[in-house]
Amino acid sequence: MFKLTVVEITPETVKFSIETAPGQSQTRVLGVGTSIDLQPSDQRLIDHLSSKGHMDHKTVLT
Amino acid sequence: MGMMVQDKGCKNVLDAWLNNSRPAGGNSLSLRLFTNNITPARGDTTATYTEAAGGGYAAKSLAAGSWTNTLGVGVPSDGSYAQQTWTFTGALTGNAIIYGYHLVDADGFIVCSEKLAASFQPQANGDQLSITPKIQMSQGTPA
Repeated sequence: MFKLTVVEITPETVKFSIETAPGQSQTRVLGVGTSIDLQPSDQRLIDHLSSKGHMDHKTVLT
Repeated sequence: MGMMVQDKGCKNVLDAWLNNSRPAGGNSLSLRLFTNNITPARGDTTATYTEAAGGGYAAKSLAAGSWTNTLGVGVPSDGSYAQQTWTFTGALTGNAIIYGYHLVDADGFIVCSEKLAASFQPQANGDQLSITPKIQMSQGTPA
């Protein structure tokens, strides 16, 4: 199971970190209108941001 | 997936331990990211790995003497180094994907490598990959 942490949400970007394994983590920055190819581990981020109205399920920041 | 210590890495340990013989280039190790989707094997060489390029990437130097070695009682002893973080400025050359990391000695020979639990493709300025190097050593079955 991945541990996902939202690091920062601003009007323009969202920054989140995923602990993929002990001693390994990834941090990504998404800007408004940008999108990324998601991995299964990102689903919780989508759910989290969707619940706060920051992102729809097309993975584009709104 | 755990760390794979290549044949040359094992030889380096024996050289240092038994003969106080070190790589001519020095005692530091180079921590590098690789972008070819391979499974590390003991017979690998440095040339087996395609090092990342572009996107603000640079290899990191791990200074000898800065590792923290911990005695394991009933469990493997280990040496760990402070977390290393790459902050990318955008995509790698060719929009490459990072599949793992490897340690290279000061003479350019591979010592060990590990495939990441999850691959990582830098895409935006500020994307980061963090790794805490850790090497464990324990008893095994001699060949």
